[in-house]
Amino acid sequence: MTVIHFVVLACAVAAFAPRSRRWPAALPIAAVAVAVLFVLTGGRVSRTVVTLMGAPSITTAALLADLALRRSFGTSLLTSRERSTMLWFLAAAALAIYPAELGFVTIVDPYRVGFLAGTPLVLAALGVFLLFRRDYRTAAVALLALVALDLRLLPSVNAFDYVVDPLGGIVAVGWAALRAIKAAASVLRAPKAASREPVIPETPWAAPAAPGADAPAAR
Amino acid sequence: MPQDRSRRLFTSIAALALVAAAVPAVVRSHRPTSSPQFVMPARAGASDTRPAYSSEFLPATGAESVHAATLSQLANGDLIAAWYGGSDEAAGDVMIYSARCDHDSGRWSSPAVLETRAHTEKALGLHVKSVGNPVLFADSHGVTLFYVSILFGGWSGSSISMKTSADGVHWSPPRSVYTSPFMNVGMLVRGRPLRYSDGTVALPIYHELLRKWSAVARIDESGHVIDIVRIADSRPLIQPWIVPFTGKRAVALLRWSAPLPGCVTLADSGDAGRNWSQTFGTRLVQRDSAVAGALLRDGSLLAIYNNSAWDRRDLSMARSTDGGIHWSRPHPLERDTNPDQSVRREYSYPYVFQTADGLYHVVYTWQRTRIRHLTFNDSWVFHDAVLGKPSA
Repeated sequence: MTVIHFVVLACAVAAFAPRSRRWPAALPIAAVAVAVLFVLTGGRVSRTVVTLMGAPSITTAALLADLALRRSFGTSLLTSRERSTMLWFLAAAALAIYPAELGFVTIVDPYRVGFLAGTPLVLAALGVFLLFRRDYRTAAVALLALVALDLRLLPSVNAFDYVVDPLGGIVAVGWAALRAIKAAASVLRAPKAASREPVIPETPWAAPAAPGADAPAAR
Repeated sequence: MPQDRSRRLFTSIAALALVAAAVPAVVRSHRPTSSPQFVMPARAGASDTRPAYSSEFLPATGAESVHAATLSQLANGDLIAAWYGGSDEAAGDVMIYSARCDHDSGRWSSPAVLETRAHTEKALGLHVKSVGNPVLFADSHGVTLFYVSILFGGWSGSSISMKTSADGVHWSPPRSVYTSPFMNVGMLVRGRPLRYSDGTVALPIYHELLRKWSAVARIDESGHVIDIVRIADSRPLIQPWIVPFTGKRAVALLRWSAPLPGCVTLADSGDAGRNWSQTFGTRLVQRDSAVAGALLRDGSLLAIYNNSAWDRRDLSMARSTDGGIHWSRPHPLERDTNPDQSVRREYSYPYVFQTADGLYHVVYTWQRTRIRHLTFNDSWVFHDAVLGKPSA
């Protein structure tokens, strides 16, 4: 049982615990306390839970922490864009690594790249890219993953194990598939919607567009 | 403007922090000897001229079913063997037993329990259903026991555990060997590990969750897996057994693990296992049973396998003088044609180890009730009517 196991278990319990309208944080906090006590006793069920959790990554821990904070305290750790970035990253990494790991792809082994000395530098470069994109909190997650790798908070020394794990990866792939299906559906619906709109005849006396009309609305 | 400046400063500091955080991992992953060689065993007793062959049973444990024996030699010259036993394989009552053979008297000690399911479960903090497949690895650094812990389901729900000892008597608590990113499940161990020149260990491993494949894990001094090299093949080839010819050149013998008969399959490496060739078949017919190999004094390759397309009643040896392309006719070690089915007529899971005196020791499962131990030398192989003619 590592520190990350504790964090992930607490966040998962807090995120999915029932809540009352009057004190939304009370029940999740109580559930976390019970879960931590339950794990500390080291019983058979607790060992089974830890076995099924595998080795959760920092990315999954951050996403679960965000979910727990949003549901219990109404405050979020990540913006919607940062959350999407992390979920897309998790989905892509899971699809790259796990089919090969399970033996469905035999010609390449992407997981082996995670053992190379240069891989942490690539992760750092990714974090710097996120900084320049102003995804500060996603970059902070990359930094946390690198620090966890330095401290060997997980039993693995493979850099990929700190940024992707099967449970987070499966959820992210499901989320990405839903997003892709929704996007495809909206593309398929678009011509029908357009055909329903009234056709406005081009008029030579139409007023010119106001300056800056194409600019996105201020947030 | 001051906001922009402070943002730029923050971004620069954060970027530096990211790069700085990557540096320790990079430094740790970088190894001065990036291409180590296999440590070849010292070959004593090369001048033996008289063929020597003997067989015995290892002391009984009283367990209903025993299987998967392993053998190694401690620094003081004693032999140490381990195997698992219980009501059946993968059962909750399975324990890993160990016995030692005194190098002076040649007598085996009574078997002692080396590891249990409950002890592993407590030490790992995980749910463990059973244990099995012990693999001993001893050298001047001490002795390490690698074994399989079944976490859930059958063998495919396993992970690899290890424990170490300086003297073979006092052992460290078990710990997980992290070999799979998929919840560290699906990996097993069976083949003999080898030492690399930089102190790391080459541990042959194989995967059974959903699809079967083989690999060699490189393990550092602290027990962390620092590389995993696959023996790429889409066919179900498992339980790699590595036989190094030189420090760089080696061959891996693989078990054909499909319902239909196949053959002992090989893969080559010319860079001490950092890359493996395409696999190639041999004329050694088998079906889903373990194979072991050894390098003889003259550089020829010895394979010990179940020479049968259907069962494990015939355990044989074959010899190749050209790295596994051509083979001698099989020499049977066990051949059981008794129609009586009241006992399990199985002779399987050979494990071969060469001791410092040049003798080869083979341990294998005998009717699932005992572990048999054979000892022979190079001369016995060279003078054998069948194995002495390797290209027949």
